[in-house]
Amino acid sequence: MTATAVDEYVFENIAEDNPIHAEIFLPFTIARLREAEAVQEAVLSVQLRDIGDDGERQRKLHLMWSEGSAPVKSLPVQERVVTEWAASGIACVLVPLYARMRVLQVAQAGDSFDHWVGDGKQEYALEVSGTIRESLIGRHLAKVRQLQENPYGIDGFVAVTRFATREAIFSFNRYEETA
Amino acid sequence: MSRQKRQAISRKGLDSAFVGEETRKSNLILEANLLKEQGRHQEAADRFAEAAQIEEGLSEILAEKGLMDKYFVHRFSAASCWAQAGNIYQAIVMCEELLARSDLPEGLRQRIQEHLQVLRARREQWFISLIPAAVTLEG
Repeated sequence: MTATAVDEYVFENIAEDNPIHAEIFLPFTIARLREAEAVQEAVLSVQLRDIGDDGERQRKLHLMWSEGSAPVKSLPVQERVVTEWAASGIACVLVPLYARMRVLQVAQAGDSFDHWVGDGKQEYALEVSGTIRESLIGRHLAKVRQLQENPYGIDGFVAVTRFATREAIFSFNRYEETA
Repeated sequence: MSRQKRQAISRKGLDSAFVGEETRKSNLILEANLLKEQGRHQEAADRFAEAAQIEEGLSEILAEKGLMDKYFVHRFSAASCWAQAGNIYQAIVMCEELLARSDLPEGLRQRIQEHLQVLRARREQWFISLIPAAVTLEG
């Protein structure tokens, strides 16, 4: 059995690694990841599916952040929104780190996904979801189906995070025409 | 990833000025979404309106460059932004213009039709809510 590789990432780098104002997600993600106020790091288990190479790979992602990025008081939105935005923060790490792309744009409600990602030449869809305790596999499957219903007929990525166990699945998915 | 050709939207020939405006628009939508969740609806609507105007400008550039797949993305986004800013009239007009095009991809046509149906229903509710109570009671 081989040890799972560990990747280090300074969380604040999402601001430079993505053109969109990704740092807006920082306090939400930190609020979901940290176990105590003084904690400034967390380790996530990330399963990569068809990212970089075909097939599945397992990685450990060691995230570190500075005290200034953490929320000083409770965030003025519903808990559901905190989890959603926390998952977007994780996606803004996974996309540049593993897919070698950047989060370029915010999508619209009618698009069936949350963001547009790209490599400078092409754009793909990115669907993001977060949960505290629900099944990661079940949520991922539902989100893949949602992404595959996009009206543009394009391929895309799905990034799902389960915060209670600090696990994530990041996958590349082909568009499937259902008609 | 599989060697089979991927299905994506082309960004060929887009310059840094375009990318800058695209980013500015996205940041406005991000802020608007957060403000909306905080119940700060007027501030959210202001940002959606500004984003809608940027999207209209971007879509015109894309049409000139012949990047029609991306043109449709930004045009539909402009309509969505107008709707979220509260300008349902403009959103409906833009959706109808898109549907009048013969080169609109079928999947997107279906999605825009669904969106348009929602917008028209909202407009109807709006008209009904504007009628004074006495009129609705007495006919």
